[in-house]
Amino acid sequence: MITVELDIFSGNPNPRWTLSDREANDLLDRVMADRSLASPPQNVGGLGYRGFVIHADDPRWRRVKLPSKFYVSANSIATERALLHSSGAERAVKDDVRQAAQDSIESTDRGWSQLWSDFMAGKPAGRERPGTGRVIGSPKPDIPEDTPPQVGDDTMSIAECGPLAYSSDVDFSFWNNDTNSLWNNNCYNFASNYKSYTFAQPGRKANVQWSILDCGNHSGAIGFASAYDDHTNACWSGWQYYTCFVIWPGNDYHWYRLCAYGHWCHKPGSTPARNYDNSGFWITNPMTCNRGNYTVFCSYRYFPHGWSVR
Amino acid sequence: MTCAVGPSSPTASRSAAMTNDSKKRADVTLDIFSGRENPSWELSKEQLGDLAPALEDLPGTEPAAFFDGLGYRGFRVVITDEATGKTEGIKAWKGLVQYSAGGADKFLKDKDRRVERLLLESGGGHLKADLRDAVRLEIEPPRP
Repeated sequence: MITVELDIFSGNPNPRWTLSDREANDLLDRVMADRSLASPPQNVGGLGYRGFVIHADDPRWRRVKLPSKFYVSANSIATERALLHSSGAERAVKDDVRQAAQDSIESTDRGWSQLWSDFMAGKPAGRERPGTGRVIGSPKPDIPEDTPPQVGDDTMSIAECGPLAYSSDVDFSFWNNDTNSLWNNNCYNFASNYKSYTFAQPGRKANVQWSILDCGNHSGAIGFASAYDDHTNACWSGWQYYTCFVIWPGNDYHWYRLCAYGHWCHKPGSTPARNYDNSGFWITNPMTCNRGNYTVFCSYRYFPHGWSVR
Repeated sequence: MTCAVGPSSPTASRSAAMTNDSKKRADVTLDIFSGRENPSWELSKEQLGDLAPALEDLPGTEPAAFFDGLGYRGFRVVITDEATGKTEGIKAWKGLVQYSAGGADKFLKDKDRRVERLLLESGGGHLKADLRDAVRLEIEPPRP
């Protein structure tokens, strides 16, 4: 028996229903064709529609070693539609709730497909407006917004550790609302919370860009005066971000930044900024989240608020 | 080039506008990195000519979302008619192909991953061996 739970409410219990045999077979076919659909259940955040939790008490699932409980949300639009329109949903879910879920599903379909279509159609991509994203709380007024870069990139000598600044862990409109912001800003832009529209590279602003893909060389290019591991007291005196970076050995690097409520966020290349990992889970620990090929965790870094990157 | 329209038209005929047309330029991007710029290169006329038949017989499929997390996110191809400035687009990821032209999109199913394999092969010296191997593993179709 396959039970579907529409994860949408905050106070009330979520609606639940059972799939018919045909609908269960269809879901099994979908998951067998793409096992990444079978993510363990996780609240991906926010009020309103969040996805579906599948409870599978079925010998066929056990035989093919599928999890008995998993989460279906964004990145599986066709499956979400099928679940929402299954026969049991019509009985278990009120019309207005089903409409709200459908609206969310259709609007999140504005993923790569729609952005790619917009790009191909030459639709307005958004103006370049370099600048820092909004943070929760205000920086100290004496922090210079545009101090010339020092050798070693975006830092200068520091005296004492300042407070952390956070951006929203659910609102990524600053990064995702237009294709120009999306395509031309990468993970390093996101970590610094600065849109340069240059696909910024560590060290490039101070002409000491990283050259070898290992933790040491990358750290040198970032150029903080001393190791910014979280247990040192060497950090910027003003507001700063708490970030970390990881390496896909020999190929690439990736950055994360701590956002509000203890959630880490990131922006993989030209893709939308988000608060979940490759499995669709909240990121509460970047050392243990699903990072795909980026298997080497290098270190945590404090990054000064208001610094630009290039 | 035109493609099949909808899941029920697997063998709709198509023009071969992409093939052997000296006015067309095709730029490929392997969408895979996060920090670094993605590898990109231009297809030769011959490679562009190979791409059209690979798309010819693909059946239509329902629209679906592409993976957009860390790692392999597929290939993007932008084909520009240098005479008119018009563009066509192809995005391919693990057997899902989106073809965009004239403001319309078609989704196609490439169960043998022929489009991706062709594009990977076209990368040649633009891709390091270990990166090519990593992508090859990604685009391998699932075993039945």
